[in-house]
Amino acid sequence: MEFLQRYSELLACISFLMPLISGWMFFRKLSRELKLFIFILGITFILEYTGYYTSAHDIHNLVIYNLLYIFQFYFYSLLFRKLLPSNFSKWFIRIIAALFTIYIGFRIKSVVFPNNTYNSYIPAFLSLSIILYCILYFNHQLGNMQTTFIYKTPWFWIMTGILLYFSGSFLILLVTNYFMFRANEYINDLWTLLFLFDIIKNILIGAGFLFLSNKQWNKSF
Amino acid sequence: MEQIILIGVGGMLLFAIGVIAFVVVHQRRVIQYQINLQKLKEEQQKLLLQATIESEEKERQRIAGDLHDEVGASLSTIRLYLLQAGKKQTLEQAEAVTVAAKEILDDVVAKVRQISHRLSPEMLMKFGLKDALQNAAQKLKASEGIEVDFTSPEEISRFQPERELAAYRIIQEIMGNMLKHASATKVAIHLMERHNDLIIKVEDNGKGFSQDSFEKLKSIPGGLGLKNIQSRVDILQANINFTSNTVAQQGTMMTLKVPLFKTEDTQ
Repeated sequence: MEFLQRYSELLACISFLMPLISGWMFFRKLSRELKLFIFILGITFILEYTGYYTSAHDIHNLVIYNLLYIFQFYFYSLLFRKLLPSNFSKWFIRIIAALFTIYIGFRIKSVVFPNNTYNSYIPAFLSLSIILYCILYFNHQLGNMQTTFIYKTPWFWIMTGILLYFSGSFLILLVTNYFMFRANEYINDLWTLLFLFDIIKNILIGAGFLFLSNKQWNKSF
Repeated sequence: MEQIILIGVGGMLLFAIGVIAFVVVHQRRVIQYQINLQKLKEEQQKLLLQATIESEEKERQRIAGDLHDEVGASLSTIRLYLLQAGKKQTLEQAEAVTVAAKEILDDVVAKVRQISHRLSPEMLMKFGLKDALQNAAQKLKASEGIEVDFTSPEEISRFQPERELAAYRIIQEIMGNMLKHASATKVAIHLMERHNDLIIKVEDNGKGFSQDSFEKLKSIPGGLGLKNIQSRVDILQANINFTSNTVAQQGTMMTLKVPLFKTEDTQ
């Protein structure tokens, strides 16, 4: 357990390399959406690693995580907007993005200069939005009779990883502020759990990219 | 507090797993449904093919029967007459036998023409579907004493001969069924052209025959005629529809919509 607590963040950072490398191997074959996803993963990796490095050197790093959540929110919204063709989905994403922007606008000071307060609502909002986007995506796939073997497509595994990660992290991120400043003894356990979800997500995404080597691979992925 | 959070996290994870499991199970059901549908289609195709083969065999047997009973017998008689003519003492006797042989020969010629016409209607080949159907309607009126109304525009586009023949055979089968099963006393045949389709409507006042009955009967063993209709409809890439007065169970309207050009020609 102690090993996990000590190295989970580093392992989570390293686990990003698996989908990044496998994605890079097939980069030319990737659709625009998958390239965008690789870009999101790449930036997430850089910011997470920076977060890990700064925390290891006791440097104040809350602003890095705030930036990471804001970046993830907008780019995942853009990705799902491209993936979901229905007008309802597009409007839904627009409304969610507008609400998020308004909230960030009101809290801009605490986002850029967080001092010692961790704004839990930003990652919680991000997680909840992405859970809803994933449900919309799966709902779209259910109505799409052309995709017969959904679990043989990279997107199925990517969405599974994302949905599991954000579902698992939603509550943890929501209560991080409380645990960080009021019940500090538990915070490491929760972070460890969060990093484990991160590792599972990256393994699933990496596995999804392996389907790109399939001979029957087509551009619609 | 930590325990509550862990239970919450577990609940959220279960929810996510539930969503994913639902998607996978649903997809499997869709695949199973598609496989079943494919099997059903293949079975239907098999039945249609079998019906076509049976029908061809039946047609061959009928032609063989016609040739044997009508043409063959008559030709044998002519041969006997001609042999007799050679043995007759007087010219008058020989002439009388020759005249009798000529009469039978004329009959044979008419019979051969009739068989040939049944195989490939001359009117259809020369003048097209409109005239052939009009001719068939007239014959129906004359032979069965049924009131037949035929309407059509002055000109109807002609299309490939084999497609015209298939459409003609469908209408022929429908009219045959009307006589055999519907006991109709009034029939109306309408031809019209809409955009790139030829629409043929056949109405009667006999016993009702619905689309459901057509679908049911063509998918069970037997029902050769209906299977032939379906097979020709498929060849033509056409649409066939039967409507009937469901309350009174009387009168049927058949609509056949035939594209004037094959799909690949139009593309």
